[in-house]
Amino acid sequence: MISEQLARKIADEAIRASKADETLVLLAGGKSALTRFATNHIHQNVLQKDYFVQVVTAFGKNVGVASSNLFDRGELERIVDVASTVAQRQKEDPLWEPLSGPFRYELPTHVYDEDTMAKAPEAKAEAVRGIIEPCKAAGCTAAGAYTNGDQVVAVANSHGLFAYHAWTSAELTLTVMTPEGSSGWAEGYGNSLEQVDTKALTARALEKAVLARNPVSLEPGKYDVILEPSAAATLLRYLSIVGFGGLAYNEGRSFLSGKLGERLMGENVTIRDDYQSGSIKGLPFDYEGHPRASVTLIERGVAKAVVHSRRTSGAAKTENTGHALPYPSTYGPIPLNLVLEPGTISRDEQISRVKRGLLITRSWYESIVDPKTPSLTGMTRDGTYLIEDGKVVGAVKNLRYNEDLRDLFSRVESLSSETETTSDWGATITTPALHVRDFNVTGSTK
Amino acid sequence: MAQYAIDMAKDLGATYVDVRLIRSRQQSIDVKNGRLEGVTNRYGNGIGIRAYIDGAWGFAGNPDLKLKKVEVAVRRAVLIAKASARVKGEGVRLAPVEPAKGSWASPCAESPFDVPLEEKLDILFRCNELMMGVEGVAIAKATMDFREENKLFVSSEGSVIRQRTVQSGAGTSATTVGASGVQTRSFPYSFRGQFENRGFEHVRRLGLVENAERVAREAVELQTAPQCESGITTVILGGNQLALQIHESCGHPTELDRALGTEINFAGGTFMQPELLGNLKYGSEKVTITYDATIEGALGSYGWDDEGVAGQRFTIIDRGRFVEYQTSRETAPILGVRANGTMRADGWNNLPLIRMATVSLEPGDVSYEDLIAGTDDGLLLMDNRSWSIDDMRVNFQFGTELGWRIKKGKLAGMVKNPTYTGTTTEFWNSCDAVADRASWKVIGIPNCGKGQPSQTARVSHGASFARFRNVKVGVGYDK
Repeated sequence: MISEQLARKIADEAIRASKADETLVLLAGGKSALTRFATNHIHQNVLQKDYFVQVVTAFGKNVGVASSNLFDRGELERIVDVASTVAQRQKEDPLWEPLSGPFRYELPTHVYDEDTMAKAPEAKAEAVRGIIEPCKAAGCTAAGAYTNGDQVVAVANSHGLFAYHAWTSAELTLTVMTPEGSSGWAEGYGNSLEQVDTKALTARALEKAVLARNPVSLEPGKYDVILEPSAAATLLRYLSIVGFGGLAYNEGRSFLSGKLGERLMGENVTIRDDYQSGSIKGLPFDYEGHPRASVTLIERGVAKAVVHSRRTSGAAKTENTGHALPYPSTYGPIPLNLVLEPGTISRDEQISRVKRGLLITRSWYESIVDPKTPSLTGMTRDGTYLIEDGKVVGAVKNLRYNEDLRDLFSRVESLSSETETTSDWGATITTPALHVRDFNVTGSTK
Repeated sequence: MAQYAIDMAKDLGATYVDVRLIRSRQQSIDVKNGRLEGVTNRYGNGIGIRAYIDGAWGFAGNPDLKLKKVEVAVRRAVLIAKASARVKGEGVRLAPVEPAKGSWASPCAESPFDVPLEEKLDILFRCNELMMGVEGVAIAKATMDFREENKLFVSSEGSVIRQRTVQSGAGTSATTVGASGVQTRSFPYSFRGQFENRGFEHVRRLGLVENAERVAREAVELQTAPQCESGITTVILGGNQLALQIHESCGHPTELDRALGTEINFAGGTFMQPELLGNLKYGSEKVTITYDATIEGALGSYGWDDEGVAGQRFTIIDRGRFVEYQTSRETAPILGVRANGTMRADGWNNLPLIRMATVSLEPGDVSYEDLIAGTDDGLLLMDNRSWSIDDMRVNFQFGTELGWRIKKGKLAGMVKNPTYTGTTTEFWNSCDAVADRASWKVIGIPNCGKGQPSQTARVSHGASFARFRNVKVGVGYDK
């Protein structure tokens, strides 16, 4: 792993080599050991290791960027030169704001676990055997990915800013299939392998797969649904991607544009972005080194805020919340550590309150149909069940839904007291299970 | 270096080893609303080592090519393979292949990396200026993306293959925000434009500036266009919408690794199971779908795959019947079929997976004009906006940027927010006409995701226009 000392050395060399008015250096990467298994055997087992250093040079407001995955002096000088040449040959960026000076950061603790990095391939293989064996014994097949790794992010600039954070992570995603073709899913994440309870996750996926046998077809219509945390997290993630970022807000593309202060969702819905929450802690600063603030996005249904970066906050004349992605980030700032506040009843209690409806394990292959509404389509997957009179009575074939996400969060009947953290595409999402009324099912698979 | 790594791995017990050494560079340029959002240049180097021991694979990569670091990567790959062998199932058997020695390069008349930045920016800013000049446009974007990869593949069987690929892509889009929400029009296609395995000559031919105003006017017109009605109708697909339909409902489901269950945990499986090979009536007789890695300039083309098997052409769907999978040296022997050279990895730091090259709906026998003229009532849909399909590749739903009504054989006005849904075999069996070669194009898709860890492949699809009957449209807007 690149140590803080080495990161500082690399950044200092790059800044020294630059003749720009301002220079920003981002160093990121890590190691990831992914043991992939399917049909009850390990079929792909990889160790990836890569880092990149990105240099941003600003001559006034003329900005250029270059990056490389090599860090020797010659390469650093080369990419500084490339970035500088680009900066000096192109037009001004009117949204460029001066870089910040040094900050103090509130670093999450206990996020680097040496045992997680030291786990040998043989030990991981044996752990995977422990996942496969009960599935085999039940006549089922297991497929999954068991991953451990570390990451480092370091940011420095020519105003003396330096930020460094390293962490380990572990995850298991697991799909169990019965001979009849039904499937069940489980996933677990943490900063250490110890936090990922492979036994419990295996039991969960196996139970779901067996319960998913003999699925029946269901007609399109509106149903009460219990969205388990995996499914709820996906819907929240898409709401966030199109709605909670400062760039979409400033450009009028977000459902929150011009609506801060209005009630847009149910009173029982509070959504925050907080890097200190959940079973995997996030990055305490953004990719320009600004401290990452905890931001309340929706409070008891009322739209409160979006997240901003240096560039979008300047345009919006508001505070930078420290959510910049790596420059130039044409996508804009987005929340990376979402939290949906839990409720007070258990998931089992939620199920018991459904007269006729569905229990949905996860959502799959979602796509934004209309970004301003925002509306989303997707399919259920790996465990979709029918609830009648408060009990799960059987399985249904996977269903297609089309939902207005903002309106969905107005139809939340209850949120469970238990929460789970999922991790997807660099973001963590901590959610309870949701009981949603009138979930719009528009089709199904055969 | 590669041979050193192979010899070392063999000394440590590997019975097969392959090594990829890759050097790459990329440039992305984004211009938006008259501002340069960013010019990013990325450089990458590394070595990826795949080792096969006792019926199992191990893989390790390293960006540092110093000897000691390569040795570390070799030891890791071997260690991982030996660990995998503890839980190996029936073990891997590789289909035999003749070692290959040779080189291949994509056509490149003008390296995009030699074109001055100012020249690229002039084109992009001109497009922006023309688009912003159309009243009602809120966001105008123009982008260029370039990539060059130099790859050396060496295997313990004696293959030594050098390949150089230069890729260029460019596109524009105009977005309006109003009473009809967010409406976007793209050119030549959505997903940052059209991509090919060619140099800058490709960008010069695209007509970005010439089409900028039209694209912007369509984005404005969409704000007041009527909503696409919901119901059952005839649909003609073209452009990158037809490309994406092929991609999702034929390309992916015919990857043999999916059929054998090794992608279940991420992208899923496929309804096109081995017992259906040769028996499934996938589509109508008008539907012939091919795989081709040899089309000059196509984004998905290559000389040899990342197992040293020559890139080739074969038929997947023959006049509606499912006849061949995309296979690899590992999956082919399981079904007793041939390895047809489809394995590709994203860079040096990933191991290869079965990937599409150019998967095409072969042209038919009717002109585009006659296709439209022969449609009494329906919709023409082009340029994808949303896409979704289930984990077995059956139920799908797509949306496009706009649609054109067809009434009595003529285009009769624009509609906004068109969507359509269906199930794969029902849909393709409803295909009753495919336009001819005059309107057939190869469309690049630069962002196909697969695998764990996730990889991106650059693929392409040949498509003209195709007509489908009794399709459900207006999904998601039929409240």
